[in-house]
Amino acid sequence: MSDDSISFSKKGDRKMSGFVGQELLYDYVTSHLDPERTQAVEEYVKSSRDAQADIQRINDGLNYVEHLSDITVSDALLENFKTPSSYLQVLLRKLRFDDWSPGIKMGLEVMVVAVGVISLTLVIPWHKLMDVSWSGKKDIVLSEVQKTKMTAQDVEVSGSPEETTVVFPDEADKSTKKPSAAKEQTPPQKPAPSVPVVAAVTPAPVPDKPKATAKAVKEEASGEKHQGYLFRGLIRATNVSAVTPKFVEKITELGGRKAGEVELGWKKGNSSYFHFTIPESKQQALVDFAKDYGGLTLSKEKHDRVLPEGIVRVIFSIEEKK
Amino acid sequence: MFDNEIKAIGLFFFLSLLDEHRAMAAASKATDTFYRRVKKSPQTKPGVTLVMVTRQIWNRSRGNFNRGRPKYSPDSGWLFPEGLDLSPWKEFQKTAPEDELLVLIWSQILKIPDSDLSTALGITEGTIRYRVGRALRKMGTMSQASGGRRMEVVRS
Repeated sequence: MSDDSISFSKKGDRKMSGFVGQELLYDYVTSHLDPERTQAVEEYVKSSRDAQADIQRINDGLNYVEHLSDITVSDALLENFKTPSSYLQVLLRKLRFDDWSPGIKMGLEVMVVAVGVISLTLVIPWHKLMDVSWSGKKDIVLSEVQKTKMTAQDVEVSGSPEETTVVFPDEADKSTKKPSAAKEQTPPQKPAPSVPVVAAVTPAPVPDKPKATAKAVKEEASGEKHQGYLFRGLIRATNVSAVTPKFVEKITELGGRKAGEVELGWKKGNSSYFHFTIPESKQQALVDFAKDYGGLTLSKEKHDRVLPEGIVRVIFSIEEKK
Repeated sequence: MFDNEIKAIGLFFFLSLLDEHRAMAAASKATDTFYRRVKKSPQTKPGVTLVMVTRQIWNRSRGNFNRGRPKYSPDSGWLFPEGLDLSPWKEFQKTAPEDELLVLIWSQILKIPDSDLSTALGITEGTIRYRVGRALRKMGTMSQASGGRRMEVVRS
């Protein structure tokens, strides 16, 4: 101790008080004191059992935290820290999702799944899915024919069975116009028609309709039920564009009438489409004619629409032979 | 880059919270903030930035949890040295004043120099040493009570 130093006691020595000594123990243990202070603390520790116990505690504490500092973080966890948090993670963190009880978590999950399933069920266009044909048939029904039954009176009125006109719903307008056009073309100098002629001209398709409807109602009422049929076929021929007019001509010649909206031999891509009615007696003639062009095999299918007796409905197409 | 600092951040929150999920969340947040601060002021010492960031995130999250309810599993990603008994630390983490708990982690476990701590916390080095001394006494008491390792009086 130098002579310039301030004496803190009457005897001139610089004895450390217990309060100061206790507070300097950590610095003493970690060697952060100057030599003079170190010596003073050492003297204090020798005389104080509390100080000795404190040093023991500090050293134990230092030893223990030294072990704690050996705890490390795995690389996976390190990467986890570095990865920026997504919105969902932040939301879950804010909601303290991890602290929720398992029951509540499971209930929430069940609710979310249920809502998802219900939403999906409501969104899916089921009616469209149900309409999808899985059979692979590509046929398009262009027109449906009202079933009517020809009576002897009808045959008399309209002439021979071959000339019977089948009225399709979509052709109703055209068929009503036709008679008037025929009337206009009638030469004026022709003598007044006799009674049988008038009977032949007068019946127009329009007045026939109620008759057919009435008959259909009558049939339903009497419990009779007829099964309609449709003949389908396919011809594979070379040079479809050249063959098509021949078939159109032949069908017309055999008394066939187009059914539906499209004309006979309607171009459908590389193929021609025929949808027509024809007297049943002429059907074989058509098949025979088709033999020259690759052959036509007609398959008979059941159909809801019933045609007058002696009339058949045929759909076939001519495709390019590969 | 800054892997040691990020590991230190993870360890800080694990030891201060003793809750693996909260610690991961807080460490992730603190890492984001740490990178932002380092980018913003690269001249600041990483140790100072680390203390500032961890204190900031700690202050935000401390109100949301009660100390003394450890929640962690051995496979949570923190690797413990063999034979380490965490019960004295659990006791200390539960009962120690906040300032002593934090300064002990920073100073003695993460080995951040007192000067950096002083700069980051805005308090004198003497105050830091005082807090560390008190914290070590308590830590030593708990370590002795749990039959932990004793060591002879050695001046380092």
